[in-house]
Amino acid sequence: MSFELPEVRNPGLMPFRFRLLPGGRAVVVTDLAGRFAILSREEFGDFVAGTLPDDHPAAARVRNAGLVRSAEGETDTVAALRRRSEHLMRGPGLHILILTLRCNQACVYCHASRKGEGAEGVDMSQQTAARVLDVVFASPSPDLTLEFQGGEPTLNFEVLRFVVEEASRRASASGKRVFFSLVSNLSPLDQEKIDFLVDHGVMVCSSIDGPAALHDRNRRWSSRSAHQATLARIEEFRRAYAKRGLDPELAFVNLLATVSRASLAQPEALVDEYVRLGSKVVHLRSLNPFGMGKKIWAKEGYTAEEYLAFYRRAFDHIVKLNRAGVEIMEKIAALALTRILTDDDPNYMDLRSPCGAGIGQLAYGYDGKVYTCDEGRMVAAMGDPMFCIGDVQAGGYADIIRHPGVRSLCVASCLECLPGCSDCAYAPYCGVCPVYNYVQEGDLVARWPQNDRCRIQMGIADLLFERLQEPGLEPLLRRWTINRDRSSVYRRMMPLTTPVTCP
Amino acid sequence: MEISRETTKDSIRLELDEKLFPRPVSVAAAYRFLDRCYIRLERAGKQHLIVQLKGKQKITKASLECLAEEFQNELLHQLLRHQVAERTAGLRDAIVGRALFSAEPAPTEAASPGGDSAGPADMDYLDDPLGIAVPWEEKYGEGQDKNGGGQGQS
Repeated sequence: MSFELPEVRNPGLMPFRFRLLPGGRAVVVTDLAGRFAILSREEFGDFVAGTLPDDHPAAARVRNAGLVRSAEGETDTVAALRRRSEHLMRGPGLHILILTLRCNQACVYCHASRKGEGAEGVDMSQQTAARVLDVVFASPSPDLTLEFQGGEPTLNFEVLRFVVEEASRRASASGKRVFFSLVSNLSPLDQEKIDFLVDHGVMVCSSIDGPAALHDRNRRWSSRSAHQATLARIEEFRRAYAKRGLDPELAFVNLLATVSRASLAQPEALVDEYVRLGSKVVHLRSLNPFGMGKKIWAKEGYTAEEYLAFYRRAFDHIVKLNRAGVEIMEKIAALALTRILTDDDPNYMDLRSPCGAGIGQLAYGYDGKVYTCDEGRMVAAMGDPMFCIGDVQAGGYADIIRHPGVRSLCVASCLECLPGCSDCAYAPYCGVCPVYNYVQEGDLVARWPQNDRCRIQMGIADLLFERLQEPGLEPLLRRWTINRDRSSVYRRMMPLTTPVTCP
Repeated sequence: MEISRETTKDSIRLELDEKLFPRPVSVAAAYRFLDRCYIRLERAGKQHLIVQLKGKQKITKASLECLAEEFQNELLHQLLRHQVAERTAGLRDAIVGRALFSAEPAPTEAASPGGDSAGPADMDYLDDPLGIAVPWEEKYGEGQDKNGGGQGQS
């Protein structure tokens, strides 16, 4: 929809960006720090022309959003920008360890980065893990999160155990705070391993793609039900947390849903499954193209528009459940709303500027090779080592972080300086993935009008701003931005100053 | 005219006005077509650049026209990228510089054995490897060449 900026005659404007919402009646105006006002087209015209009366309700909205110049307004903008840019001060805090490429399940959307359960030579050794920890503890970040991924990381549990124990020891010696996170289908775990994870404060994240039929269709496990196995392990975790007297509101297995083509027709059923399981959060993650051949994408993939139609239905269903008293939120929306409605920086690696590649996270392959991020590691699994920035066997942290690849991705994901992003109203809430752009377009910098990731993010932001205009909905959505402090469950090493939060 | 086109049997030539498309923009756009075409760049007068796209395989006239259309889209992308990069250079340097600085290793790590390259981080602030703080007289003594041993000065 074409929309011409009315002539700017108001000399008291702060720098702003704007976007006409679908439907053509409302305009979202954002300042540099992401504070916003939603105006009608007429109000927007008066705002830029300087003819909006001071006592008009819209005038109060633009003042509160810091869009009008004033001494205290400028101070507030600087303070908000500083809070929202805290990730620039931290250094790499997230360290992803690929403990093995082996996996006991064969998901329809995961190919290039997994090997069969019996494959040899694709597990991280204890020696390599120790070198990884040398690099991890050389990061200047005072908070370190070690995330175990695979393959199915619990198939190499002894190295996981070594890393947890050794990192805990090094944390005590170095004064750093260390957290552990496990991404697993949970099926290989027994009671002893579950007790170890709970006792060592390891956060656990698993996948439930929806009701049993949908989940088992996506996540194939010979003749067994992956859904049933994961649910059984979740129940065992519940019992383990309860046995230790941990608050079930804080101690729980995080769940996410990967949306495949088969999911598109049943968003309500997918959300209802999460409600049935007692989950307060559902994360509707869209498929990424990494590691998929064209044939697989044709079968399992979808367009941005198809995903957005699914997402809108799921979102509206969740809101309906909220209004009926059911507590559940969607994770992507919750992250975006945190940036839209508060000045907090959730430091989500994919939704920040610059993105987390290298400067916020590092990914370590089973063989000790280091990548800018897990997406970069997956590109390497496709045969292209473009985002490999070192090897723990051959160099240290300084060599890795000074690799030109880190600088390239940092520049290529600095939204404020990218075509299409620098003047986008949603830039304060967004983030780009140069690795995705490279895979899709052969270039770190995207051509946004043809980029599905951009379409999805814009579509979700449009939806949120549309819904924020609906009477009574903002207080409900604001509840999605409340982060609960989970330190009592995940504090193991030393007293925290930075709370561990969920979702 | 900013762009003019001329099609031959197996190639298409676009003449670009460098007032609208600075040379780095045209070169960046042409570079994106390396895998699909043979590309020739030539100067035409003082302010024009000719880009010739020649199919690597046998190519129809319609396909050549299509290539030229895609090239023009790419020109737009590269032009905007160039303009935004120029306009936001200071901001980019501040943000990226801050982010990279925060990721720099603590001094003890940079100085640790294990293959790390030596850099400024492994030096004490009083270290003076280039002898900058050494007084002139002490460095060269009385009667020495006060031009510093001949650095090309007459």
